[in-house]
Amino acid sequence: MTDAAIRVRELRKTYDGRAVLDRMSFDVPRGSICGLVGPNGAGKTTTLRVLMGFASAETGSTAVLGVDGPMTPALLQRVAFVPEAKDLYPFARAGEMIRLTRGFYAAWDHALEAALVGELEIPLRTWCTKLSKGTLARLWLLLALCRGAELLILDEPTDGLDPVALDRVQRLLVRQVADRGVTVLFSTHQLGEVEQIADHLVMVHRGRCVVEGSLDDIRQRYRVVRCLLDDERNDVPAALEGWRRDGRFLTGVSSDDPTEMAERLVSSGVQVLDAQPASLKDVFLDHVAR
Amino acid sequence: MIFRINPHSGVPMYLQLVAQVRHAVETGALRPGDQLPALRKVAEDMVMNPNTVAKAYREMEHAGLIVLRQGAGAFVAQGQAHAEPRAVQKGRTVVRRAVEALRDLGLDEGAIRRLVDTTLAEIHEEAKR
Repeated sequence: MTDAAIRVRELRKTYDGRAVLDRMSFDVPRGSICGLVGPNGAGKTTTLRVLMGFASAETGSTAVLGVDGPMTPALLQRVAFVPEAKDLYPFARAGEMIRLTRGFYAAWDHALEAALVGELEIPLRTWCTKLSKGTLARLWLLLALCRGAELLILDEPTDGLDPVALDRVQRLLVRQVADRGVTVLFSTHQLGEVEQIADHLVMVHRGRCVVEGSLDDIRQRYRVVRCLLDDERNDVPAALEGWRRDGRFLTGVSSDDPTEMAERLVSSGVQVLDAQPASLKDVFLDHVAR
Repeated sequence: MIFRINPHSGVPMYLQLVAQVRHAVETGALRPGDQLPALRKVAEDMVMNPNTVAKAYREMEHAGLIVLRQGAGAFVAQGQAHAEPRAVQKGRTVVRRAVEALRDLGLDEGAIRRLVDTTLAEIHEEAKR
């Protein structure tokens, strides 16, 4: 028994001979808000769908809320999911969609539902097909939050939200974690959202997890380091391969101790100018855009 | 809320919160015995992860800056502020001199700010070892 709400181990899956998941492994600690980030096609949606049992992996294993293996009906009562494609029944109005969903879940929170209809400005009488992208996203969140689930798995839950709605949704998630101790795993393209509310990060690239851990640790571990090449030196030392070069200046992201790094590099004619805390974007670009 | 956290700065948010409470106490904006807002209120008002706020509160308690009373909340510790305003005054002079010296070395405002941030983070990490 671990304190991980989600455990993913060595998932592998191929489409047409191309690996969409390539030994994907990570943990999501209980009670955390975990941001799942990565470029398009990195395997975020596939991973979440495997967790929910909507897709299968060829090899590897998952465990959700301590239960090994694929999702069971009992487990589904404790987990809420918001999919990437936020379609709803075309024959229902928003209010009917809420009533329909409510019937499936014993732990449905009626008081929260009433509050969220107002807070998220859900137009109850509008047909689901007529809802804007942002309204659909908010309705899906209402449906997920009111179920009384312990774990929220949200695939791009904030896609299409305007800044006001985004702020409201973030406050809402934070409140759910503070009040009920739920665990949230959400995927997004917006690193700013992760920096704002997540305390845990899973960064994926080409079907694999490339950075994982507490956001505070990551903030302290990675630095943007600027170096200066000596006049007489023209080639870049092997240790700084791939760093951005601008004349005699070299800039890169490193998790090495800056003092030790400076000592190591001085003999090869490189001076470390400064090492400033790296933003998530710096770390992301370093791992993904190289 | 008197605090302002920048989630994109690269400095851990809990350290920013600790630094700001400390600063508020040092300048007298918060006095011994003053109550800090409840954890969930800080989390929601500042749109911060509740675990991060809890980490900041634990760190402040550990440093003797605040006292956590079960069920009642968090209070600025006694004997914190009194001698401090003078220290802050003196500190301001020290910082001013240092900044002017750094300017003379040709460093611009951004570079100075980054140096200070980095140095603080380094000292914090060294202290933890």
